[in-house]
Amino acid sequence: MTNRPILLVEDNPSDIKLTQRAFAKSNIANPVIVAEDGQAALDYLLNDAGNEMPAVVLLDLKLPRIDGLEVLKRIRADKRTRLLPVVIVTTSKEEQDMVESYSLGANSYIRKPVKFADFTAAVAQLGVYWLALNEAPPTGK
Amino acid sequence: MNEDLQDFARSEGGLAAPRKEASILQESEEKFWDLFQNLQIGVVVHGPDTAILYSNPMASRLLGLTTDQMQGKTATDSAWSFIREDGTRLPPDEYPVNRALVTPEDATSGSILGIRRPEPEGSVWFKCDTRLNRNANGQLRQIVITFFDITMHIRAEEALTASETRYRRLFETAKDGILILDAETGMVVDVNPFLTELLGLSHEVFLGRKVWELGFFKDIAANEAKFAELQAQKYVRYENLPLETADGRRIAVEFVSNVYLVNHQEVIQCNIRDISARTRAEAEQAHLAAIVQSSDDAIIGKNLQGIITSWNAAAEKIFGYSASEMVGQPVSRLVPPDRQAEEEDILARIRSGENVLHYETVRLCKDGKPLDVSLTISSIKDTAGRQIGASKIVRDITERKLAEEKIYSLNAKLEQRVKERTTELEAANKELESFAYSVSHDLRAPLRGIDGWSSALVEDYGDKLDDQGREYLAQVCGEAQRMGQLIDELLQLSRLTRAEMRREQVDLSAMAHGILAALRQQERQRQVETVISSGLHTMGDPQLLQVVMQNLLENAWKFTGKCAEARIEFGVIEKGNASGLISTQTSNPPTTSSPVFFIRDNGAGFDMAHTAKLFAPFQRLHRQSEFPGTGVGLASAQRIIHRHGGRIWVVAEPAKGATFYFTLPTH
Repeated sequence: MTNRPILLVEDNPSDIKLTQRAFAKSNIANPVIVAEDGQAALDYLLNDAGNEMPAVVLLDLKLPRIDGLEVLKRIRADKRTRLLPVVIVTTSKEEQDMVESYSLGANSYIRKPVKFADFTAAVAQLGVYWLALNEAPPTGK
Repeated sequence: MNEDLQDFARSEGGLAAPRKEASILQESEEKFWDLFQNLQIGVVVHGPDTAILYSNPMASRLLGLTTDQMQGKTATDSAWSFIREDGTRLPPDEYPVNRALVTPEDATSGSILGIRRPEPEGSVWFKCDTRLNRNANGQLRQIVITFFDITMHIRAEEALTASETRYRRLFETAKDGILILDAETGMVVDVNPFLTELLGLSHEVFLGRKVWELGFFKDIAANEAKFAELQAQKYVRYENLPLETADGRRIAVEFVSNVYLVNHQEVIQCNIRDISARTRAEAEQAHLAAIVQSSDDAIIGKNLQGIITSWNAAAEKIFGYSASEMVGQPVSRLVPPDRQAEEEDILARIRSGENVLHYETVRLCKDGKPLDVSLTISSIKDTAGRQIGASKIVRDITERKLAEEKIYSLNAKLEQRVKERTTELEAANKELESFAYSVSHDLRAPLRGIDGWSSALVEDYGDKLDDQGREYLAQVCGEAQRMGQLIDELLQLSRLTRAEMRREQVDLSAMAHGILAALRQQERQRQVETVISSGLHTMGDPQLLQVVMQNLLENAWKFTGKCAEARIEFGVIEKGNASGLISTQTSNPPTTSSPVFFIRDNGAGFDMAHTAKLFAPFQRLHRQSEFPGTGVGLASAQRIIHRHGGRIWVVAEPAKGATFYFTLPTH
């Protein structure tokens, strides 16, 4: 199991805390880096030097400044991050959002359940899959 | 004076004096001779042997022979060529001399004879008398023939006959009725065949009757009075006298009577002309003229040079010119300066025999105002088929043009409005979409928080709460989840009306099988009899129809939950049978000929009084604790059916079940 960080791109403080709590409950100890808007996420991944590449990016779609789809587009446009696993984690169930996300190269699309138990289970599964099962592509660094 | 002459003189009675003195005798003889020579009656004296003894100059003139030529000629001489009145040759034994010899009496008179003379004199006619002179003992001495010239008289008679014949023929063949009346009595003297035929009465009906006694005059008294007027004025004329024929036909005649003298006797001639055809033609013409005059369209006649020949009332009204102002004027006066060529073109087309129909253009009124008109121009031909002009019907289309413009502008406005509305609608739809997106995204996040933190509270501090406290928190979570579900269904409902619709073959039977199998899978413990008619297809959007079937079958499944022997049926009522199978208490009666699908259950049912609420979103007929639900399912089903152009309605009864019917147009 890798120990690379998880980049959580999410602007809702409650969701951030609940996600962190869910990771904790699921015994996922990887550091969780939080970017509260699209710009912050891109800064971490592309602009700021020396940041460790995350094992997976959990990307919400509705974000301040730069929205999730735009962030995804730029991640895929940069050769350093074009293979980076990006999982869309969002409240939206709009078909259009799903189609666009996958078109832009999202690795997965998960809808946040309202029920916390379901939410916790989903986060746990995410962790197991992307951090333990999945062989991450080689990073540019 | 010889003996013969003395005899002749004695026989004439004037010279019977005895011979007393020679000188007296001489003088008398000379007087007689002179008289004889100058007598205007031809005298020829024959001897007993018929040889001519002597003749006078008048005889020479009449008979065409000189005195010398006649001297000695006998009655049988072939030089004579007498003719009878009828023009035939008179045989010699009927010559006056021969006749006189065979006639018992000594004197004859009155036979009329002629002698043919070469033209130009023609025949000479005379009345011929004969007398035999005898001596004292009765012995024939002389035959005296006198010729009285009646050529003039005969010629006049001939001319009269010819004239009579001519006028008789005229009378007989005239194409007018002619009636001759006695001016004194009014009695009919003669009537021509034309009149008897015209009136259908025989000649005899007329003759000897007074004219006003004849039945065909409509007003006898008036005619008797008129007759008096005619007698006084010698002339009467009726313009248009109604007559009735024997077979009851009414005809109109022109009746002219004249009084004139025939042999000092007054005669009335009545000329009767049948003017029925003329009257009819005049009436017809007047009728046509009235039509032209009363037309709302201007009707203008013009000749091939474009000169106006007629101008009706509507033309006066439309253009403002009177007929007297325009007749004789060139029609180009009505044409605006920039369209003069147009009129030339129209005239050329008319001259070439073409008609011009509904030619829309502009003409000028008297006050100079332009007028929108539609022209229909036809050539006018004379009876020989020669083109003599054109009739022009001008319709004022100002109103129509205005109406058209109004329609155009209204259409344009309408289109503009539709465009605006469409834009508004599109904007509203966009707004709705972004609203839905926000709802979906933002409204759910706090719910997740409520649920999440309530759960966290239970997990981390559960030991510090009693059962009731934990129960309350469980309620908080439950409500949050319920709201999440409501939001989801609301979004689904809004998506149903926004999503684009496909149209393809859909197997509803297969759909029903799939949905019921899934429901059975979820609640294995339930015993539900399902009856699905096989092979039910329709045209529509498969995803949307899936939602309809899902909602209706899930409802049936749910509301039969408390039934011991639940039964769910999906089938179809073929067109035509629908009305018989559906109770009058339907919520939405069918008016369609499409097949009617139905989903029937024997579950909880409901009171039909509440069906109005049934298809409205979030409206429920059952308590949450009885049958949970959000009240969106039927609203969605109705929306989808309506989007397909179909209808949906329900028949239900509490505790007996419900049947949902729906139609989907097959076109």
